[in-house]
Amino acid sequence: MSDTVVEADVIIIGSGVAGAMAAYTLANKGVKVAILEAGPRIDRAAIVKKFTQSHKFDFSSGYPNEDWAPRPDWDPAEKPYFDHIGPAQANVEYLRNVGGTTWHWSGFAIRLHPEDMKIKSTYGVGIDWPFDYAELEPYYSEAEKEMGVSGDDKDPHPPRSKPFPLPPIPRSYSDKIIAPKLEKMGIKFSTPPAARNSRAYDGRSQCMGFGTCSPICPSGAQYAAVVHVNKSEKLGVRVLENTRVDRIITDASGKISEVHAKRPDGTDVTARGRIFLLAANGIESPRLLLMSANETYSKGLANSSGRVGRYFFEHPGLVCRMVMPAPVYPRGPEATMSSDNFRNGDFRRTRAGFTFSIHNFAHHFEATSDLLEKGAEPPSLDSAIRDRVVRMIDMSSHMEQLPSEKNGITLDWTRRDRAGQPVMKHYYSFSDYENAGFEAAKETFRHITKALDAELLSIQGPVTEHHPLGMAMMGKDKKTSVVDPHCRSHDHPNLFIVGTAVFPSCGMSRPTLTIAALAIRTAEEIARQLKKKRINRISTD
Amino acid sequence: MQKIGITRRKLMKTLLALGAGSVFFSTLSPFARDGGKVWAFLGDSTPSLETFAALSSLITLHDDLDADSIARMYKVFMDEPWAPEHIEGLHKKIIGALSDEKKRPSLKDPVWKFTDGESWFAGHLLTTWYLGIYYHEERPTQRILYENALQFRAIKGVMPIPYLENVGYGAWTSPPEIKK
Repeated sequence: MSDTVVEADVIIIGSGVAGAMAAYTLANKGVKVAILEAGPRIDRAAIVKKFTQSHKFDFSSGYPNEDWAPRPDWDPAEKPYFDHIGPAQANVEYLRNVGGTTWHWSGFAIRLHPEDMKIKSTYGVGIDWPFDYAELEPYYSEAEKEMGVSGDDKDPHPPRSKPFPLPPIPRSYSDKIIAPKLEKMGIKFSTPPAARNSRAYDGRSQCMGFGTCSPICPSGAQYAAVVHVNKSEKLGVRVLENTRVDRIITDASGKISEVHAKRPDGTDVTARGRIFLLAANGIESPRLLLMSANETYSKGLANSSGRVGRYFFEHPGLVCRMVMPAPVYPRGPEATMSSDNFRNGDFRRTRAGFTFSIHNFAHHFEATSDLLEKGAEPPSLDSAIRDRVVRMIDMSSHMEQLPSEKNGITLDWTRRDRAGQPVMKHYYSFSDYENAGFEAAKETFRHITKALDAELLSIQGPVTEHHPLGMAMMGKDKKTSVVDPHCRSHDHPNLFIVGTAVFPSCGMSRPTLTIAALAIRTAEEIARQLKKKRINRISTD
Repeated sequence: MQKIGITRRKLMKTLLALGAGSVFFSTLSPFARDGGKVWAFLGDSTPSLETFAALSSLITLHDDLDADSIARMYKVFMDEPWAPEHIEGLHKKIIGALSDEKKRPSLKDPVWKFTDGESWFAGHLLTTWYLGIYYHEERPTQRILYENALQFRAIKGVMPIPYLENVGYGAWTSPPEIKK
């Protein structure tokens, strides 16, 4: 096979957790797979070094942002990629490199709750998934095994058929100080499940306590999708890095015939397969569908519903920073304690629910900056920094948002990004539902600060969590959704889409575990259809 | 503001302890010989690397600044048009005042008679040493120091340097063992 023409049973666009998990599942079933990834391969040690050389305090400045595979920069003013046109700004940021964005995720592997998937049926708001939690549950267990999820089976969780693969990560010293005080307020805590090794697992080390889970785990104890990229390659999957898909081509029957990609040197790559799996991330997947509009599909591919690029939602939240009255020495993995107290309840009919977690990281830089700005100087400066850092606590809320028709992206063909592709106009706003949720979270943080006898430094936000959801939504009705319950396009029988774009809702759970579970489920369906040679007609089951 | 007992005598004692004399300072960088120990360079009228090193120590009150870090800071700061003048001015004024055997007052103390530019520059230098990041409204922001930024000295033992240090599995469940 040449480098300019790629052929496989399944062509996967994107090598993040969705693409990697799907490739691995398919390859294990003997399916011939090729992955096209826009960005380069990266090296963990090199990324760590780049972060120590960066002046930015973000999750992405250590990662490549190549001209041929540009991505949103943390500071949107620096390298315009989105044109934010709404009243709110979603700082959606992701990576384009082999392994995708799980290089810098927080590691939390949290299932959706059954009511999250039936939010319309349960609370009368939002959009239901086309199947229920029980359908997804076995795939959650499979994803947890693959990723190596640590969790406490004694904590309350959505129904589980299998125990966590790994024991829980122990709670931090600061958790132990804080929890008893807040439990007196009636707040209950649990250990958030995380794809972080509480013991050596799957060839990766036990967590070593670097405390930089985001933006990178220096030891590799935290799962990243590159694990399954590598495993897939060992099973024969071909991974073409630096191969940016610009266009998906349809034939006269409406099937996808091939995709066209470009390499950094300008050479063209054509990839042909029986099935195409779009796994390019919650923004790039709908963008590629819109960019691939043609005479027959003038609104973009898979877009007979008109919903591609629309109904965007996120996980907006608040960050509360406080100084405790006595040292709590925040150290350890990103967070080892969280609360679901404010997650579920009838209040979700009128306002967003939220969870919150307590972070094990003291913002030494901000502490130092703040003290310098206030005029602190040597010799007392060192002890002041130390005193502040050992008492500093961050809490963050993770809030649900409802999909909104007006939130989403459109393409501006008059402006191009560094790769020559149209700039996205991104409209983002909050509804009364989310605004009421923010107020509830603020009030809770104020109560917590008081209960801890802490000094409140700030409540910042809303800030989004870089979870772009909903812009190629799943559903049974082709008039109101982009893909069917098997994540297959209603319009193109051999096109499947995985990733956050297909989520109808996401509750307050970080989406990565659900992405992985859904990718495994979709890959199994693809394998089944390939076996039955049913791919030429629209599935009806 | 708490004061510190840095006097000219102490400076000279430190220099002698380092085996350094005026000849040494005029001909050889102290960093090369001393593995990073620096103090004041007295008597030169140009903002040499040694003068910058001495000023950095006087501003930060750390007398063991890393030699490579000093060189990197010097290179960036000397690109500023007014830096040579400010380095020289600040150095002379601080050394001059210390010669009166006074303890080093706050950098904001009017006793120094710093010009506005010198006051700003002293804060600029202090901030950069502590943050490791160079901020200047007319120049690109850049990281100059990472692990040698002085903020990490302040938190040594209570928090690992992000990316470079780890505490070991489970150590986070207890407070750190702080060496006195």
